[in-house]
Amino acid sequence: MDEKCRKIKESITEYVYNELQGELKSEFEAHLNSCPECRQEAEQQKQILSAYQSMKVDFSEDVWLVQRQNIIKKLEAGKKGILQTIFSNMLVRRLSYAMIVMIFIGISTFAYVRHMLIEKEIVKNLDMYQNMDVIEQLDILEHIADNGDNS
Amino acid sequence: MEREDKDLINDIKQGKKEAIDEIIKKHQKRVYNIAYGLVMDYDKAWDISQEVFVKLVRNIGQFREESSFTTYLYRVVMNAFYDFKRRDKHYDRSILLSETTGENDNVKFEIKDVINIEEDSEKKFLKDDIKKAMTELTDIQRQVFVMKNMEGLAIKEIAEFFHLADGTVKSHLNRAIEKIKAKLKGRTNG
Repeated sequence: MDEKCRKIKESITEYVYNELQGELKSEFEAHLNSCPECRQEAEQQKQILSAYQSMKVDFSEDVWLVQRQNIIKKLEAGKKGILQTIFSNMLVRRLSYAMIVMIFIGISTFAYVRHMLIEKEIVKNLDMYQNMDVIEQLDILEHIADNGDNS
Repeated sequence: MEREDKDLINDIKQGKKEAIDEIIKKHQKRVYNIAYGLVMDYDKAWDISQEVFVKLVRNIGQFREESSFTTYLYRVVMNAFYDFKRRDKHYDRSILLSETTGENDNVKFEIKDVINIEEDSEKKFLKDDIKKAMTELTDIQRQVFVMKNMEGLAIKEIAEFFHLADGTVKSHLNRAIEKIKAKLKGRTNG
């Protein structure tokens, strides 16, 4: 492969895609006419591209209609289940779980603190009643003692 | 007469259902073939192309007409291709179909059953080899190759779309062709 062939090879893609213009194209074609190796290379590339391009798919109109109906159904299903769509998002789902756990912890903490406060209040009241009992008993004893003294 | 994309988009934005059907009808073959070129599988291309239109319609408000609708459509196709690749490890066609068709709809079919491609065995082998070679290309080589050969975009347009230099696009095309050539092992008349 000489220097000219190497240079030509750089433009071969543009040539096979018909993107070489004017003088460059004429120069390229002139070289292909005189160089069987480059001509073969260009032909081979054209063959590959033609085979690939012929792989384009087309269906009957019935099949395309099925696809359109499927798309419309999916769009309508999406409208009906907007909450479902939101919860199908993994991040949203994780946040929801985290919120449920946080709410549970919050309620438990609140119930525990409330229970502790009530218990404290009861103990305080019991102490007070006990003290009142003692004071009452002292009052009675004092009263008896006073009566004894007077008699 | 086929209506302009921008008129159809305005109608979709205003909630006109017929416009959705019309825009899908107008572009579904093109979208299917790009998807097919990217994944080289009839069924996967079917699912991807459906996803493209679902996303396109759901997010139609995001299309601001700063670029052409076709460019926007290509962008949605490429994103759907990447989404597909991410979940391809756990690909389950039955899930995609049940999402698509709804719970009570049992329309399931293999795409290969509805296409009828008659060709001689030599051509078939050539195409099979091209398919195999395509799966061995890098994502960007495949994307560039598909946009060139399925959509017929100019090298300059592909470069603009992928934000690449013209030379880089040419190089991706060259490498893609070289890889296919290597796979063909003398099947072509070269």
